[in-house]
Amino acid sequence: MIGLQPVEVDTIIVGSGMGGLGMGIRLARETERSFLILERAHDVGGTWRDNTYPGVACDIPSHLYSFSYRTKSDWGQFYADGAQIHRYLQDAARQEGLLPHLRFGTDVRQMRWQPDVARWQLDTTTGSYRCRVLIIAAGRLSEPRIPEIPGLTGFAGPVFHSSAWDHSVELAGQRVGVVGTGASAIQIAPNIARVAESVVLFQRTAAYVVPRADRTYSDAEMRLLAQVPGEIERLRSQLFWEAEAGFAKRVGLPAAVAEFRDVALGHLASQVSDPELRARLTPSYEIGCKRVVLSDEFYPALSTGAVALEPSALDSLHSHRATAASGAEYELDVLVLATGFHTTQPPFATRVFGREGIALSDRWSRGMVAHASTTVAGFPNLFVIDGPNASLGHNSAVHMIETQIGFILGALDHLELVNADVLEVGREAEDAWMSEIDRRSASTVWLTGGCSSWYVDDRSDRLTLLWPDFAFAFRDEVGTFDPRGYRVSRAPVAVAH
Amino acid sequence: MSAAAAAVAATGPTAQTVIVEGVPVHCTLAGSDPNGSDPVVLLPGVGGTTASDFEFLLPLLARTRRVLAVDLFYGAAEATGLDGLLDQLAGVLRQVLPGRTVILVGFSVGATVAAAFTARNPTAPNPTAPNPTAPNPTAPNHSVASLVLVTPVPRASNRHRMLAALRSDISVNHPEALRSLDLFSAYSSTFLQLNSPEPFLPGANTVAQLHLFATCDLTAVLPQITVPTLVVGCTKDDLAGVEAARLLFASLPDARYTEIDSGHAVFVERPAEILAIIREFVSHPVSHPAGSMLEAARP
Repeated sequence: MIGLQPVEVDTIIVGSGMGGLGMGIRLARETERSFLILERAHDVGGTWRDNTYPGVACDIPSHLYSFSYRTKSDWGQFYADGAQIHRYLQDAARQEGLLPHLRFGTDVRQMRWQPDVARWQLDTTTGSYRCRVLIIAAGRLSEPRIPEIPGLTGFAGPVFHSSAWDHSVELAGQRVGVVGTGASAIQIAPNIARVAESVVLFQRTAAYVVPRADRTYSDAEMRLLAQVPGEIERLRSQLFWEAEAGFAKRVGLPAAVAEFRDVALGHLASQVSDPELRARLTPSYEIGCKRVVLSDEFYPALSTGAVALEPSALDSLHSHRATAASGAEYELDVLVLATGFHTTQPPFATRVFGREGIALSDRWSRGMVAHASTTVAGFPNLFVIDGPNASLGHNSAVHMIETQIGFILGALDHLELVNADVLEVGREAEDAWMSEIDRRSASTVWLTGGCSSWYVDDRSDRLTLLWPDFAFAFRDEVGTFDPRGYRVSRAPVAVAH
Repeated sequence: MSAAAAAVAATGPTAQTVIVEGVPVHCTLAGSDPNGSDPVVLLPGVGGTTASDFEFLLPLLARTRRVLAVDLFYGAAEATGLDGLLDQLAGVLRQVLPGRTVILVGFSVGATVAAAFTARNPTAPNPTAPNPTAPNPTAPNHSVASLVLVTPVPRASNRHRMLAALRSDISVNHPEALRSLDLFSAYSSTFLQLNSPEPFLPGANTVAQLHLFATCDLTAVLPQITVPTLVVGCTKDDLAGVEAARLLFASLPDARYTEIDSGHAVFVERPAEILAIIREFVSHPVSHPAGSMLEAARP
């Protein structure tokens, strides 16, 4: 399998989640390019393949959390669960003819730009590959963040991260600890409380929780969407613009912020009657600063005692004993780390080497930067999907991914149009873009809300994960490739295609 | 601080009252224009105020440029008609944004005013003209760079007159039913199926705005509107009617057209979508040629 000659293709996509598959679908449908999708796991689906914990579900409406070019009329729920989204992505890969392009079990160890031939050289666990265009779609929530808790390795029971759920562990009759209060923890805790003997949740920072109000779609509604032309687009449009209005809550529009806070605190008050518990669950920062979570089950599970709240971080472990920062002690059989992901410092960046052999992680040593959220100076013919300032706190990630895909296709068309091989953004354009990002970020709740979050790089206190504007503005500004600020060139030596 | 000084310093929304020919006109100024981009002037619709119609649009548009929202005093113009409203607007602009070319955004009857104002101020002011800010309320010294007409009422039809008469009758005989009629006519069926909006508060301008709604006719002056214009129709608007927007688009020499899936109260039903459309157009007014139908965003 591992040959001496690298496999040569025009384009390589790294990752087969929503970003990688979305890119692959459009390459397959609209271009004649040869391309491969390298995937370290043995299936497509990205975060929806990895996250199989009890209760895993999306908090963006299912009709928005799907490709605009692969709508699905029979989503059964307003919010799809993880397995349904995973199936949707598997179906997409198969029906769009991507399986021949996929290389599973291929972990990319190094991606290095070779200026003499103007190609990217990839070393992987299944051999070497060489391509003209490299598209990294390695995901934003894909590398588990494991906290450094003294005694963690010596814990006397099973320990696993929420995104690597160990289904062989029987939770019935077990005393389970859950670390974290992010979106995963809030879905996990009430669900495992139904079988476990006891569940204790270690809360470092309280989350704002708003009503989920999930509902099923009736058969008639599904048939309506399938049979009446334009109906599914109208629904998507309505859901999208409704979500867009939510951005007002993130930029300190006082009435919108107050209304949002009232909804969350009202939800808490209506579901938790014990004033002491309510106080412990009341966040001390502004709403929206950290990700706002949707749940109708979380507060009742705490209120009824099905889940016990430890209002401090997990401090240390010793055999079966977990000690919280407050000094409280718990005997645990199983420990679940719902502690999030490496977001601001993506591990893939340590494996990418651009001009002069500079590592992308070094280029990003003060935080991720890119022009148009997609291209990085010093890294020719490299495109990053879901990288710097390309996520949202208020609307669907798929809209952002599709925007970037459109940008990349435009850039590739441009190269063809000007008969060039290499495209590279200039540092000046990138700097100007980043200044504008910083300017727009300054007034947002993510930098003014008084919290620490996975949206902000703690090395520079810059907002590097989120796009600090409406999603429509991202489409307006990034959706069409603009060649200004880019240099193009021919490959230094003729290379056989 | 003078109004002009306030205009320079303003970034957060600042409410102020400008006296024009003895008439107090309330307006709100927000945002800044470090690059000298043209400020946007917002005019609310029938039964509305800048506060009710532009609660979302004003602060969010002001993140990208300077915005002035004006509550014209329709009652004071009852004797002078539409011309009186245009004089009021000219007076406000002269005091708050002296010497500035503006982008006018009018909603509903606000679009009637915006279109008429643009027709009356057809060319850019001559920068060499002496004393361009002389306090002559009727001097056409304010030029309009571009124009946005959101679900406009350019010419009253029988239907508009019927609705105004119905409303007037109900307001006398069944005032409590008026609230339902207003909600019923302002919002789309889709919106009312999913939401329970608050009743509209009776505004000081409502009756006079409805008079304009039921009597206006801009047909004769439309050819004088030569600036780049965007007309926005609302497909489920039973109040102004989407046909009026389509015909207006076809009547103007330099207009583009787009539609939103909304009732008349588009700033409540689709606040982010109308913001997106306005924000894009004011930044790139001629990126689409005259006569273009702009496709709705396909999210």
